[in-house]
Amino acid sequence: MNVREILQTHSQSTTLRELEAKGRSRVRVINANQIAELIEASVRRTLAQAETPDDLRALVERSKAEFFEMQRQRDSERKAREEGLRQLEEAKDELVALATEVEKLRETEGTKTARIGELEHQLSCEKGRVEEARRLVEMLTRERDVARQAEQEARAAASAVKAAPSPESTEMLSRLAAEVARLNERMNATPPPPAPATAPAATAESQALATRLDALSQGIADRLEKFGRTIGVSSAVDAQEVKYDALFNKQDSFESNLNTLEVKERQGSGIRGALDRMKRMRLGGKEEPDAAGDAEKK
Amino acid sequence: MTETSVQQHGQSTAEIGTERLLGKGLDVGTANLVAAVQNTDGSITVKLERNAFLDVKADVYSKAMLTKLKVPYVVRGEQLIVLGEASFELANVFGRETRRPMRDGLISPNEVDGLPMIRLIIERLLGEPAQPGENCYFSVPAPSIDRDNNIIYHQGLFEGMLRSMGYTARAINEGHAVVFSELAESDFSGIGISFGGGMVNICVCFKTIPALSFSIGRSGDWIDKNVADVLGIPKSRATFLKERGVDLAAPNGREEEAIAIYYRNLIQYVLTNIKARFESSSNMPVFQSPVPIVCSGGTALAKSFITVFQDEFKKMKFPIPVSGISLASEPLNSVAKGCLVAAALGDAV
Ligand SMILES: Nc1ncnc2c1ncn2[C@@H]1O[C@H](COP(=O)(O)OP(=O)(O)O)[C@@H](O)[C@H]1O
Ligand SMILES: [Mg+2]
Repeated sequence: MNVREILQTHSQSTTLRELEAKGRSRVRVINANQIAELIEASVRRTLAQAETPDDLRALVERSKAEFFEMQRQRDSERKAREEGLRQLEEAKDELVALATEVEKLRETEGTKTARIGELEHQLSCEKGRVEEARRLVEMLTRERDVARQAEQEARAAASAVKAAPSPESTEMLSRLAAEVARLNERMNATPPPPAPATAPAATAESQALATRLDALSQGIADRLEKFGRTIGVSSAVDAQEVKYDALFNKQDSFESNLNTLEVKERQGSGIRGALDRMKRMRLGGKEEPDAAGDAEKK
Repeated sequence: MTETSVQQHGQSTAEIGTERLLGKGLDVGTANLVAAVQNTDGSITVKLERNAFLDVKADVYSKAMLTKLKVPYVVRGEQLIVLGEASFELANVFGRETRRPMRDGLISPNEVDGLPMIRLIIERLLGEPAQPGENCYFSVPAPSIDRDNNIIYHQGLFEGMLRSMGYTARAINEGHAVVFSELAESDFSGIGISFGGGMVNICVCFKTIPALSFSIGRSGDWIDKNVADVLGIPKSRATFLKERGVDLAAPNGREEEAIAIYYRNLIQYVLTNIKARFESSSNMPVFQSPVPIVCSGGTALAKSFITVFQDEFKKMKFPIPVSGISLASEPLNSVAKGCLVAAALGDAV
C-alpha cells in the first residue's frame, strides 16, 4: 500500500489544505522536498483541468501558503522541545548553586551534621535525576526525528514498511514517565521524620536550603511532566503525526448481510472499581477524597 | 440485544445514553478483536470476533443460505468473503486456512485485502459512536525485543480507521491495558502480561505509569507451530488439541506432553526477558512493597497455566519483590476492559 500514491491519486482536489483533509498530517510530517513534490504533483494534475492561468496561479499561491503554515507548526513543536531542555538546564544550574551553599553551610558549622549529610544526599539524587532526564529528552528527541524521517522514507518507498522505531525509544519514554512518577511519588511522600533529638538541631540555614531543594524538586517534577506531555509521554501512546485517514475516506460499500446479523454479546464484570481507584489516585488524596480514599491512605 | 439494533440504526443518543456510558475499548489482537462498553448499571458488555476471513466462490453458497446460517459475508466481485468465527468453520469444511489480517500483533503487510475486512469486523463490534468523537481507546503492542515490528504504522492505521468511523481514537499499550483492568487493588503497580495469539505483551507499571513495556514475538501461535513440527501434524490440529484443554501440570500422552513443554518454554522465555530487561534498564522504579503479576489473554486459559508460571518463577531470582501471580478474572476481556477504563477516564488518563 503506497500512501503517497494514494495521496496523489486523491489529490485532484488540488490544494494542500484539501490534501491535508485526506492524508492530513501525513503531509505535515513529510519533508520539504516531498511536500514540494506533492504540491507539484497535485498542481500538475489540476493543470489539465484549470480553467484559466489565473486559477492556476491562485492555486499555486494557496498551496504555498499552506505549506508555510505547516512548516511553522513544525517549528513551534521544535521550539517547545528546546524550551523543555532549557528548563532542565536551568534546574541543573540551580542545583549546582544549592550544592555550593550546602558546602558553605558545612564549613561555617564546622561539623558534619546529620542534616547536612541528608541535604547532600538529596542534592546528589536530584542532580542525577536532572542529568538523566536531560539525556533522555535529548535522545528521545533525536530518535523521534530519526523515526519520523525513516517512517516517511519507508512509506514513500513501499508498502512493507521496515522503519520500526527502536524499542529503546518507547522504553525511554517509559523511563521518563517512571522518572516523573518517582518524582511525584517523592513529592507526595510524607515528610521525613524530624531529626532524632541527639542530632544537632537543624539550623535556620539548613532548613531554608531544604525548603529550596524541595521547591526545586517540585519544579523539576512539574517541568518533566509538562515537557513529557509535549513529547507525548502519557499513559496513552501517541501516534506520531502520520495519519492514515486517507486510506479510509473512500471505503467501498460492499454488498453484505452484516446489518442483519448480530454479534454475540457477553456480559463482563464492571470496571467501576478501577475507575474509582484511578480517580482517587489522581486526586492524590489532596482534595476531599471519599471515605474509602481516606482509609486507603491510612 | 436491544442495544445491537440501537447501534445499527444509529438511534438517538438519548436512548443510548440511558443504557450506555460514553467511551469504548477495543482490543486489536492477532487472533481476536474485542470491544467493550460500559452499561449504566455498572456492568460491561463485551463483543468478540475472530480476526480472520475466508473467500469462497460466490456460487458455492447462496447468500440467502449464508444469512440463514447466520454466517456474515460481504460480496467482493466474484467472491463471497466470510468474516470472523464462521470463516474458521468454513475453512475446516474446505480444508483451507483462514486468512488473517494481522500477524504477530501487527497489521500484516502481506494481506492487502485484510484492511477493509478488519474494518468491517471492527465496525460490527463497535457500532457507531454514541456521539460524534466519542472516545475509543484501542490496544497496540509494545516494541518487540525479538521482532522487527513497526508499531507507528500499525497504530496510525487504526487511528485513521477509527477516526473515519467517527471516534476520537487513542492507542494504549496492551500490557498497560491489562494493568488498568486488573491491578486496581495495588494502585496499578505491578506487572501486566497478555499472552495472546501472536505475541506476549508485558508492562511493568508503577502507580498507573508504565515503567517498562515490551513484547515478545512468540505466544499461542508459536506453541502451535512447534507442537505441529515435533509431532508432524498440521498446525490447525495442534491448535485444536491445545484449545480443547490440556492440563499443563499433568499432560496426558505424547501430544499433550509436547504442548506442555512448549508452554513451559514460553513462560520461561517471558520471565527471563522481564528479568533481563529490568536489570539492563537503568532508572527502573523501586518497588518498596511486593507487587502482583497478572496474566491474561487466550493463551493463559490453559489449565494449570498459573501453576506452571509459579513453578518457573520459583526457579529464578526475580529482580523485584512479587506478592502473587494470578490469572485475570476474564482473560479474553482484560485488554478490552483496560482500554475501556482509559476511554472512560477520557483525557484524564
Ligand atoms: N482454551 C484455550 N487454551 C489454550 N489456548 C487458547 C484457548 N483459547 C484460546 N487460546 C489461544 O489464545 C490465543 C488467542 O488469544 P487472544 O488473547 O485472543 O490473542 P490476541 O490478543 O493475539 O488476539 C490463540 O493462540 C489461541 O489458540
Ligand atoms: Mg489480545
